[in-house]
Amino acid sequence: MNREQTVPIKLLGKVRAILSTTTILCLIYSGIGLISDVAAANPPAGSVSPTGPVNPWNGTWDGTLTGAPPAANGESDCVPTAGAVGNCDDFTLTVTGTQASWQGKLIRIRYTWTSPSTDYDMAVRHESNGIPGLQGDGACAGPGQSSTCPGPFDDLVGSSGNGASTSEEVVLNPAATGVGDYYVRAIYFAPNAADQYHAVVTVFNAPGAGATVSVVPPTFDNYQPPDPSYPRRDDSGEPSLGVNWNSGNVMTMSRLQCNRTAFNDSTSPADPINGTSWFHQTSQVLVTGLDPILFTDPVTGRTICGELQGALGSTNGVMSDDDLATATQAFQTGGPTQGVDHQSIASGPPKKLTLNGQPYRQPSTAYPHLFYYASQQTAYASVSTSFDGGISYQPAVPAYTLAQCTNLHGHLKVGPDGTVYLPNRSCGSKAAVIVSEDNGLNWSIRPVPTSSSGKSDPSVGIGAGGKLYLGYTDGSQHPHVAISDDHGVTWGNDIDLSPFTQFPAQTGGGALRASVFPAMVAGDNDRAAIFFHATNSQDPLDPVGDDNGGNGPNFKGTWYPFIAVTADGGNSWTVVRADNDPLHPGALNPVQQGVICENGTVCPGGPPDTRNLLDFMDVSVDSAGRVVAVYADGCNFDHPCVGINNNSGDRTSNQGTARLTIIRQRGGTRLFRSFDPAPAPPPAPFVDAQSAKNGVAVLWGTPADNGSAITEYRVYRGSPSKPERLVTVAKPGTNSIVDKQGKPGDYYHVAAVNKYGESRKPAKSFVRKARSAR
Amino acid sequence: MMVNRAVLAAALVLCGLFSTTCKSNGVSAAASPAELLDLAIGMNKDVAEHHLLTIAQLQRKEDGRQEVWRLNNDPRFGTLAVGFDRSDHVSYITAFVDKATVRERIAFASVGDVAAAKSEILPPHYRYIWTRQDQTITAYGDDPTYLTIYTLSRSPSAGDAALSAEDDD
Repeated sequence: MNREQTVPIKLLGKVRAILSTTTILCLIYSGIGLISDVAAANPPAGSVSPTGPVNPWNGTWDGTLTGAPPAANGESDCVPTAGAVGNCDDFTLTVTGTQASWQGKLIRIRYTWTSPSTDYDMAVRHESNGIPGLQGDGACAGPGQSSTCPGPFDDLVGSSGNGASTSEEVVLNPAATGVGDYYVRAIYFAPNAADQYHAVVTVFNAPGAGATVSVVPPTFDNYQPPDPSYPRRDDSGEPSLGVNWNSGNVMTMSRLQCNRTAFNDSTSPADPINGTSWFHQTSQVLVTGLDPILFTDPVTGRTICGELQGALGSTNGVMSDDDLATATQAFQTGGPTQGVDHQSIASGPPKKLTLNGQPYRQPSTAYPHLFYYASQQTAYASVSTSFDGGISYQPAVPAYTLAQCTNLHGHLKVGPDGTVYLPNRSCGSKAAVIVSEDNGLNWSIRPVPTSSSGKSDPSVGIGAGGKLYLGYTDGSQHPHVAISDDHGVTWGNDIDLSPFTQFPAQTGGGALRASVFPAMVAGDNDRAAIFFHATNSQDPLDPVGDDNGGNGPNFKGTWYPFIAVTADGGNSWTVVRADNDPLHPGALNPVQQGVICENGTVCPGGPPDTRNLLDFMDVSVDSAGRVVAVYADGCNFDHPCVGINNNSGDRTSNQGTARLTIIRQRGGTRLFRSFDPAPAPPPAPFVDAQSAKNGVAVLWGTPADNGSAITEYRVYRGSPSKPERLVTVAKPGTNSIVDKQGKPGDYYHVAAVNKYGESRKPAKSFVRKARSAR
Repeated sequence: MMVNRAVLAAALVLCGLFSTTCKSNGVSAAASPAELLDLAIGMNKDVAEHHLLTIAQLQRKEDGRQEVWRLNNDPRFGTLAVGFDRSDHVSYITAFVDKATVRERIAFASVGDVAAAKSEILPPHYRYIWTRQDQTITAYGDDPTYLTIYTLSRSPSAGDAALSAEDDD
């Protein structure tokens, strides 16, 4: 096997050149792929119970190796060694007790060292292949192995590969992954024998364990424009979204087009064909542009929708107070001193400021809120303020410089008290918010001390009482949320959501490997949601990199959308997969195959394009507390990659398009507790009845269950000339039947039943010839 | 006057920074430096980086072909950001003052005639912009007298916007 290449790849979040040393090692060690090495940490093993490390072990160990040669490609460079020479050492952590005894308990494994120029990575595998000892990636010559390195690897259940830091951390959830032996491998990426890592194992209560606030897991549905001719349906990268709380309409924008979607909630979920309406507004102002951005003020209902003009430093667009029906006012942000890239717009109430006894930096017109416009200028990011409802803008002021933070920022958000937040993924290698408490005049950088820098833009959500939620990806691309109650001055509850993110059994389950595009929203002060895409593929290639320029080897993996919610201020999170297609309830519905490239313009060109989703997505909340999100779907409902859900697809299975998709909450805990579902019969599902060869095919959605599991569906048929009658009773989980006695002219109802009763009957659904194409 | 002395002193400092701006009185009527720390717009990337290695240490690379350099013991600036265009030529140079370590502050007036500059003033934010031919000098400070960010760049144009379009999204 010749792995000698000069094309850089990324692994565990860092650039690692494939060195010719690999080839040399191939020659030294016959066979590649598995390792059961003998280099051990000091001490080499210990046990941990749900109450903590088991005596006499004290829960710590230290690295012992020289780190030669450095494991520049990560675990795949590990070689079996003895004594102090080598580049990977292993600690065997035996997790005792029963799997059930770990309910509510987690294990934190943390490496620390002194210098940021030293670097160790961590990989944790769980004994799973029946071969004693660790079998992981790397050269092999271990006991019991043949020269061809038989047997599968032990399961990789966690990894951490931060760069320019002095720590790595993995959290294990034995209640999900089981007890027994775990192999904690230190990978000497940039070793320093005089700066060895020190490992500490602690057991802690799972966030929310024993919490008094319980979350009814939310359910979600995906909606796409059903008409194939809908403009730019498959050209909707980096979409943004807003909800007008006065009308309930959802506004989205992506690539030169502003959209409005209305949902008919007479059924649950809204009928994706007949219960949604899609409208697009393409203004002449938007004929060109580099970055799309939309913002809808939920309170005033004003929508701004525009396109970046790049080096000319402004965003041109339209403003609408009637949900895009008319573009009532063109606007243009400032000139060249504003940024050339990655703009964001937001509005919210002003802080009540005075200067010399006079109102200061307050709205100058009847429009009650201030607008803010942020963008990245060469070498710094700047923000300008509008006092006239977003029409004109003051000169931009710097929010941060390249000397302080990385260049691109996330989306502006305005809190209910007028505090303005601009998130950034890396200020001093920490995720941060840049904050203004004087209506956009001055800005201060407030990092999360416990964070590390991932590749996605972070996102802010602000609760009704001002609680700040920062969603970000860490250096290992794990999704996190950190909480602040003082506008980002201090932070707490920085929780890695990956241990709580469960993957479909068809993909092999296992742990989250990487996530992208965190988008955060809050409702009541203690309620919030984060939306992200994630994969559990353990392919060692970089899931978010440039995929070796597209020339291979290419990352294989399947991505799904997830939404996590909290109802206790971020102490606990409930993570659910949010991929349901209401027309195919329960079917796996991936977002992307292969890489989601986050390397910007370095990403390889298509086809197929691996940067098809572009740089972000968005989430908001409607007036009834439903989470509403938008994303670009690279695995469309009618694309074959829907059938690839087992992490076997690489970039060639990626369609490379970006279909406009809205996720809308159906059931479960809302972000406004006053709209939490009350115990009641389920609402009526939508019904579609269609002529078929052998009768009528009847399809219905899975409705919200209003807190009690659905026990059955009752399917009724009627016609104008005959009384309605019960056709059949279907079990929960069933969403379609073929009624052989049905015929054109008949209509159908489907009632869902739970312990509180049967849903009311919705409008009649008459049999039609054929469903509209999706 | 104290201010004039400070301006003159700063202007003399700038003689080492902006070789073409050094007039007899140290202040140009209309700023027109072609160089900043001996880096020039349009300079080949290899040449620029070779020079940068003599005065600074690379801190990190950024998206959009930008580099951030930490200057070695410069009395005026702490950090330098340099951007390159698609053909690997310097497209902008920005120097940042490190307030914690600065030993010589630079006045706006030492860069050029502020009266002749386009100004954007929103106290405590002060920005002066001079445009000469195809280059723009932007000096920003959070103080009415002294700058904290100094940028030398190509003047933006519609053509630049079109070029950016190839890079963006």
